[in-house]
Amino acid sequence: MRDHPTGKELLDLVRRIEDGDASILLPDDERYRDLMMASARAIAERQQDLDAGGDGPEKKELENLSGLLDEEGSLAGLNQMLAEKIRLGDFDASAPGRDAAARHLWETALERVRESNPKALGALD
Amino acid sequence: MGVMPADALARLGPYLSEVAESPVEIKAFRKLPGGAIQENWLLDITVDGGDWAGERALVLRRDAKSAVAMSHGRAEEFALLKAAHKHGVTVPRPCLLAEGSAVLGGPFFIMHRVDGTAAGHKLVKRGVNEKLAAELGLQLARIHSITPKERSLRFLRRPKLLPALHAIADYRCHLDDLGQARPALEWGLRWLELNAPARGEVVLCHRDFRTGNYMVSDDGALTGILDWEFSGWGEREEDIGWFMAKCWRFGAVEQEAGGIASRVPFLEAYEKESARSLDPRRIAYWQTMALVRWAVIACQQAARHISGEEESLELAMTQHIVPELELDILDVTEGKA
Repeated sequence: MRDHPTGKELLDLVRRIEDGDASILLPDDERYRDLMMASARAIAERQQDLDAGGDGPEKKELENLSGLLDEEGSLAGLNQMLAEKIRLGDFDASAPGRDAAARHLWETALERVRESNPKALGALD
Repeated sequence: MGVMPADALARLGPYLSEVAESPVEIKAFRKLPGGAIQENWLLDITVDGGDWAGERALVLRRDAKSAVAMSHGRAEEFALLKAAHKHGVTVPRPCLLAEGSAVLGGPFFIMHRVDGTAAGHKLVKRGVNEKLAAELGLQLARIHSITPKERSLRFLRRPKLLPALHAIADYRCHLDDLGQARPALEWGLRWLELNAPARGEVVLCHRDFRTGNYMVSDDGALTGILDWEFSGWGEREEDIGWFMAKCWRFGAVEQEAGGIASRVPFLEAYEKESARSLDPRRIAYWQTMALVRWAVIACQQAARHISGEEESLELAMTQHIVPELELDILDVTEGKA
């Protein structure tokens, strides 16, 4: 599930900064600030591209979650359920579904790194 | 930025003159950049006579508007700085503490100013510095030589639970407060719960000992360890794991000792000074804890932006380092099926 601020929210923030909204705190270092604004725009673009055609990563995540938990519900609701089950130990080493849960978490995190900072994936094994 | 009400400023000079028992002239007083939780003010003074006679380059530290409940007050931080100084740790030498609100509207303390830079991204670009890593290992061992026997630190509470379990309970509370479920962080916390190491010696942990929180001179020498506001009793590997965590290497990921050198000079110097041999498994455990801790803090920082409490480009972007941290956490906790 995507975090807030989403790409769209970041884009709105960048536009407000460009329009001179003085209520938004900015880093003192101008170069660092420009880099951050470029990163914010890039996250927004990547999310928009991935969502094109209405079949974005959140749809896939919902399908996987639903299969994993054998439940229907919203993305937020099912993520809450998964989080609670993990905390209670329902996906500990010997539990059935443990590998499927691990796979789901890995794929979801990978998908989100692809949106937030794809350069980091080059450093992975 | 950098505004101190004129009446507060007018009170500071006479206050310093009273403490120094000699006329004090304020030559410069301005807010230094950064400091979301505490404000640091550059303070240059000239003292006419007495013990402080001469030119003094100082820093005044006081609470910022957005101070967080988790951090110590200025009186406690001053006591920590004094205890560290007494045990031979390289810190900015503490000068005085003003506990009341009569002078500047809230408590503050003053310490000597140390030269250099603390900026992590600049320090790692200077290349490998094994001597600095060894010095930091030695310094951390000195910090950890402070134990609950230290009378001046009696205000620090001793954890009833194992320090690791205490941290896990804290982070779960923070995640619950944030309101958005984070299954990958829960996975990491469950792994940490099941793999918590046996109780170790109780020592003073700095709790934010990392590149970015110590000052280094232009010639690469350590000039001061900063930011003592989160310090408390814990296990030595907590600080070691935080210092060596991947998230604090500022891109120089090959250099495990805070992005400035390999782990070898840092740990060797630590072991020599402390006369303890370290268990790599305990260090690895606390490195994993560090990833979770930083992910939780990053979510809290972004929440401050989202709630409108403090709209900030930097806080907003902090949320987008979390997926990478989650991937690292899953990678080291067998969460990669």
